[in-house]
Amino acid sequence: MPVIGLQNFFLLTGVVLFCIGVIGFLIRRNLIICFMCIELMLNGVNLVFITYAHYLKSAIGMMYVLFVMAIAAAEVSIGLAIILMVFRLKASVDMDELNTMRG
Amino acid sequence: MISTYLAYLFSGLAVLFAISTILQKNPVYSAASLIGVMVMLACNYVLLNAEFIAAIQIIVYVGAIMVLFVFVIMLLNLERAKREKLLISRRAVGVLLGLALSLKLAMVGYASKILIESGRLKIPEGMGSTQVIGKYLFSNYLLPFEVASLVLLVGLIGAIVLGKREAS
Repeated sequence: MPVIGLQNFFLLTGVVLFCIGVIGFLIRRNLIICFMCIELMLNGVNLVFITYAHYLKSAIGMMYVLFVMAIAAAEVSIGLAIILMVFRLKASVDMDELNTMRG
Repeated sequence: MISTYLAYLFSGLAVLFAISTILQKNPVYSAASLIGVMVMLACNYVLLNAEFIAAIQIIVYVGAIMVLFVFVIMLLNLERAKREKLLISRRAVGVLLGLALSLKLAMVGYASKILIESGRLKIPEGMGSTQVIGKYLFSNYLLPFEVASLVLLVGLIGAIVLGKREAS
């Protein structure tokens, strides 16, 4: 399906998704929602990869996306296990309560 | 061309779902909005001739990763919609940094337009199909493929070890 001339639009969407992820990561205090903003950033990057794969006529961008997805899966499993451990320790997933290393 | 309007629709919905993800108080609603983002991105991938990646996105990202998120949210049994008392200055810094980053990235994106539209070959037949991905995955990218399987194994073992309860 030709999406001629839409390369800039898809790149802009990828950039906007990534930056919404960055903003969400910085302004939320709940650990799980921060983690979801990390996934949002990864999805934005995936869109940029697929866009370039389409417009440079190369399937290598899709290989990158496959590996980003595999790494994201492993990262989510370990990250959520860490969040579970934090919850067991502090009974909350508030980021401001993780301040034992503060001087 | 209908695919142009479909691209606008899917991308607009994806951005709306993303804004909903970062602004919801209830984490389950946030997870549901993120699922919406991923489904809209899968529709975008189909428009961009990447149908295998679109299917993998739904199966892996939505069907495994987001389900894991929802499981953990329900396991943690958080208090209902505690209002996050975040300093206005901290919010402002976050939003300003995000906007500055988006401006910088948009500048880079527009600069690369000159390189892309210098006329290349036509799209090869079936570029996003399973055959092409399989051809690359098992010839050029065999080492990353095996390493990715190792990473997933390490992730699996780590999650089990970290999630185990102490034998009391």
